[in-house]
Amino acid sequence: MIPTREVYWNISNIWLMYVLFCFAAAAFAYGFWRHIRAWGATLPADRAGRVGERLAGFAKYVFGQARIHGLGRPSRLRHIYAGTFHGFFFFGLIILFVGTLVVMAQEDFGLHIMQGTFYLWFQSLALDLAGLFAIVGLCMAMARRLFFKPDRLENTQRELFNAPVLLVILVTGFTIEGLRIAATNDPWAAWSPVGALAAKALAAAIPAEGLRPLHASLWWFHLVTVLALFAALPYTKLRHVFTAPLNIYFRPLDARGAILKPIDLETAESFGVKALDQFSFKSLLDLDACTECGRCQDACPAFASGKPLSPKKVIFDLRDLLHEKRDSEGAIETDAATLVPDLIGENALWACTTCMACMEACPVFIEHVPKIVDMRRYLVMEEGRFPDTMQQSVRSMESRGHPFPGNTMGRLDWCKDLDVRVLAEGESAEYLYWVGCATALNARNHSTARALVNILNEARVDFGILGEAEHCTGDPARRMGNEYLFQTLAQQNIATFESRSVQKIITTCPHCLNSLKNEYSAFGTKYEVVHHSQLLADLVASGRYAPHGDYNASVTFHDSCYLGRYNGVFDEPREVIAARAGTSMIEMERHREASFCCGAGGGRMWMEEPLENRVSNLRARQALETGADVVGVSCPFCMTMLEEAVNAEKGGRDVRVLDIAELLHGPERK
Amino acid sequence: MKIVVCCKAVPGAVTEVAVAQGNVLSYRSQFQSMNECDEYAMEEAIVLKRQMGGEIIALTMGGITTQDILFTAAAKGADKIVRVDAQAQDPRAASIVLAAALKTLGADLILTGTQSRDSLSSFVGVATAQQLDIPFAFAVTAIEKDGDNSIKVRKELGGGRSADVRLPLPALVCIQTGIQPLNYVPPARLMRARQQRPTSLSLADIGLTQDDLASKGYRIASVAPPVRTGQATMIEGTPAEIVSTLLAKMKEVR
Ligand code: SF4
Ligand code: SF4
Repeated sequence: MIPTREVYWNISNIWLMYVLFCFAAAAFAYGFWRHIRAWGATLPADRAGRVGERLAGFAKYVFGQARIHGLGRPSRLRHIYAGTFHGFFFFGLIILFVGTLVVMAQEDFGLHIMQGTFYLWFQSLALDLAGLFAIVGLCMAMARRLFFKPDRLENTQRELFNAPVLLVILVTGFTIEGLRIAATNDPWAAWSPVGALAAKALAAAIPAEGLRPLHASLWWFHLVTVLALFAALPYTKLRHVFTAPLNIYFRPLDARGAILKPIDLETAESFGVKALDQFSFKSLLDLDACTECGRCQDACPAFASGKPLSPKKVIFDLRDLLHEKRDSEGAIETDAATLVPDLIGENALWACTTCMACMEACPVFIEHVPKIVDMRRYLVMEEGRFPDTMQQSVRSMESRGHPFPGNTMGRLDWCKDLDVRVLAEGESAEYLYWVGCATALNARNHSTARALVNILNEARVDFGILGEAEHCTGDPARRMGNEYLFQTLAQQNIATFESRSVQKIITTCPHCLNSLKNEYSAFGTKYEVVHHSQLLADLVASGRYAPHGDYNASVTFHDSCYLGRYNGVFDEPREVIAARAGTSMIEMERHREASFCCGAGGGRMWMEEPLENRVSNLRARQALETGADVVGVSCPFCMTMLEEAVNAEKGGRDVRVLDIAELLHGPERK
Repeated sequence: MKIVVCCKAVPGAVTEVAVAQGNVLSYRSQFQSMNECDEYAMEEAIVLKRQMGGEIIALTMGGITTQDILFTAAAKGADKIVRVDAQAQDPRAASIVLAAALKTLGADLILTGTQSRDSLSSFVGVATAQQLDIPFAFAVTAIEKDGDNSIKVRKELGGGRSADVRLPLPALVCIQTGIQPLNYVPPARLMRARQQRPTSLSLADIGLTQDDLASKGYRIASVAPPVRTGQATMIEGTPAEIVSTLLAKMKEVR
């Protein structure tokens, strides 16, 4: 006898199933059709094409679940428990779904595949185990909801709906199987271990004549529940089953640092995003892809320091508005409410440091930062409405070429007694050392620049600086939403570079690095831009520079957002620290991709923060907890923020904040 | 009411500052903006227009590049923007040109800043009023309507004192900084303002000749960099000590 089973055993009026299915399918299709219509049909250029890369990522992040479990990432971004249970029901349900397709192929398309070895190994054993794993996964998920309740989750009643429904489906599935096995004395029962177990228990509990009627009614109940869930998919967060993979497919592929796209000032009719319908396709798809996992909020320094911003809430609020403002055909009302401040408070909007921690944490590649900047762009470009202290910094950039109002320092003050060549028009050097406003105009950072040029001179690197001809890259202006000012400054600087035939640039500031490297390229430039940590690591590795003497200290290193998360430079600063004999490294819990902002990015440098909830103080505490003697930094903004915070938090301890260049050069040497 | 705001384009950050021939200041600047005092005058004009109606004309003088600040004025709310195409040699010559232009344009109220960031002479406003032979007030911190044909202004007298004065119109008022909060001009509005063409007046249009631009006896004797006097001292010690030193110093000054 060939192993198989009768598909609709004990079920009559099977036509009714098709009728119910049609209803469910219609509800499902309508729901998604409306979603798709609302997202809009135009794919921005950076989201079309590169199919190979997109599919490779799709495999890694959908089937590999790489960002759900986060294996191989820093501990803060690893989620073993959630990764395990999600994997259990993800693969479990996929296998069960394939099983359903097999039934369909057999019954509706007349392919007789449900027999023999395939029937035993796949349709019986694999499906049985898949169901079991899915049940275990669901129980784990429910246990988390009921007992652990991590803060980042919503933990509301509504949240307790999805898992139990799925559980009911799976449990009734096994019960039906058990009843069938018990009633038919299935000779291949051993291939369905869970079903066989259920059969035994049911046969003991229920009189033989009761098996068939119970089987039939449970079968219909199971069917209706499945179809109801299927119909409800687009209307609950379970829609992420479809939207999340789509979102992963359309994820940003350009360099992280190039995520903010330039506005074409000549042709744009309006600037930034005032209302929902101005968001791009991917920005809207994002909203429907959210799985409500809360990891973005958990990573957010603004949220952690008690500011009125949660990236999760931004996504939730926008999504709820999107659903509210769609008509029956999915079109977004064009006069939909002004997003800021009606939906998202101005204080929340300006609290973002653009640190990217949220986007790094999001398992489905939702893009919070471009949305926040788009809304800022509207406020600044169209209404000129932004915090006073930021306005002063913008005015300073406009009239004096640097963002520090009231600063009277000269750009050459730091190197008066050093051997540094200032490149005049027409002159050039192998490297341009781009000093940056925050280094040149802040006395504390002078010794970083001095340490660097001493090392460069000793290693005989041919370099020059621009002196007074250097002006702000425009990075702060862009993060504040002032695209116009950013482009004005960028064009000015590009002209300056051209007049000095600049090709290679060294920066001490990760913000400058990011702008010059990733953002200026939109204006057709091609510079090789390196951060000083990269160059220093190189000089040490190639033996061109050897540090003088020992420096006995334990060091913890603070990854700055724009160097690490934005530009993927994690190893080089650590190599530089290790190059200095006598140092030992202690990592903070939040390091590398999981690093925690110092609080200065996104224009926040120019906002007053109340003492009690400064991002920088939180970070300083994390650094101090390691017990390290030195907090290593590689950014002039981080230096300013963390030195002040460490001094405020360190109590009687002797802890110093040093740039990696100072550390390599020897902090005591001037 | 027809309000004319005189505004000047001044350099932002300057580099390669040098004193040439003993009395000429030379520098390079890649940035230019509307003189801050004049920006306050512009803000005040907008408030006055809102209260009394009328029109605002922004007037500047200089080469073609200076018209950039007129777009800022238009974006802020000027109804008409005018540039006199002339380079005056000194503040006195500047006041002659401005007065001629103002006569051509006609105005009930003329607003200027108290001083310009580049030359700091505080001369042009008052001298222009003299050329036009109309009443003026300097360092004004408030303006209000006072009957049909006059205004009441509060002007600073120095040393923290001020006086309220009535001025019959037409009049010229030099605006002190801080009279109104400065509003940031949204770039979108600035870009739209750039679409319009400023009115350009030649010397002939306002009835002057090249000779009127020549220096009018206002002579700069010499220019020297400021001498740092090192007057700031850091007070050290415990908080209590710092406070008592500080109090002693304050008493000394009084
Ligand atoms: S970029 Fe940083 S500060 Fe802004 S929302 Fe994301 S995590 Fe929060
Ligand atoms: S945006 Fe991403 S990280 Fe945040 S809750 Fe949604 S899915 Fe999770």
